[in-house]
Amino acid sequence: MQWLLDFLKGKWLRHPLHPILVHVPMAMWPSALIFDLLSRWNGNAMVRLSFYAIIFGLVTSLLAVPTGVVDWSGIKKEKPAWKIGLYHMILNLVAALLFAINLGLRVHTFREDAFVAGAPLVLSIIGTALLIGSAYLGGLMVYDYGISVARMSKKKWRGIAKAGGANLPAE
Amino acid sequence: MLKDFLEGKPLRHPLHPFLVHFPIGLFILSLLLDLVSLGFPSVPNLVRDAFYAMLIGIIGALVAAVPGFVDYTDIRNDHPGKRTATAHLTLNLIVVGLYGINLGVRSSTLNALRTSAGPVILSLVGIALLSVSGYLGGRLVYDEGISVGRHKRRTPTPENTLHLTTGENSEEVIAFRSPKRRALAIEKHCAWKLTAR
Repeated sequence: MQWLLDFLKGKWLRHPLHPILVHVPMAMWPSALIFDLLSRWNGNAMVRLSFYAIIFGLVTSLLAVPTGVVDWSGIKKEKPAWKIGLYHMILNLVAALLFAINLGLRVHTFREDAFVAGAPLVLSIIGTALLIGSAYLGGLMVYDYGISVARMSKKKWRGIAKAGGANLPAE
Repeated sequence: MLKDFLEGKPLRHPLHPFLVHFPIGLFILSLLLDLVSLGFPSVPNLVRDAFYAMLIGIIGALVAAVPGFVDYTDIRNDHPGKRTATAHLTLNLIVVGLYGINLGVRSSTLNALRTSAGPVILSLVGIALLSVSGYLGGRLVYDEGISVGRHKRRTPTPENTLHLTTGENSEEVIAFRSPKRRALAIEKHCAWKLTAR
């Protein structure tokens, strides 16, 4: 079981996996909104492109879930990042659900529609807003709380600090 | 002020890692649409859509380059991550150049049913280089801690470490981090040799 956890944490890559995988949904869903808006000028090509972007985002977001849960489970519950992680997860679930509904609304009409309007457009706007909020929380976990930073290079940095004469706490 | 904004200090989150999601995701989408167009040429507009995804990806890459360059200049030259950062920067410039060419090559064949071999190969090379570059960028954050907690820093970027020796090929006397003019004063006063590595 440990090998699976290590795999999902990205130890084999010496880089956490979750932030890599989320690039795709994080790019696809806001781009879907951009494509929706551009469909006013570019017609059905954009409607289709938006549809493909939502699908690609959904598939990849499913891959990103287990890596995210494993990263989150490694955070101690008393740390402030644990709660941020919880909100991040809930927001992601809601955003993914909204884009799944969004996809369902388009699936029969994207082949002919000349532009995106109404419920799918509104869902794209809300989903994108929630996703960006959620991504911001994910970024805060890394850049403000240092989650998964130096997880793989702890030994290297301890070595450097030790060579510099630092008084290190026990591992 | 502008530098603080581009480093994302008001946001407590660097801007570059946020913006790069768009070129990375859209370039991959563009390649996927190319590959689908090879397998299913009867689906309309795939070639055109791959072009649009690439175009918006390039715009995103150019926007992301600005805070990226500011982040780069904020790493002191003797930081262990500087070489990785230089490689990341160079690779990204090559990737954007390749995608610029790629976009130009395909712009005349938007009504084709299949993306032709040249642009597909350019996209494959682009994604390969971008994966390496993205990985290096991630290593800068998750291994070297670049821009982690930076918004909490009140002091300016630390100076490079300066090394003082007693002369040519001699033992190092002291290594320290301080403004260069102070080190120069010490050098003059003690007749030591100053080398910034």
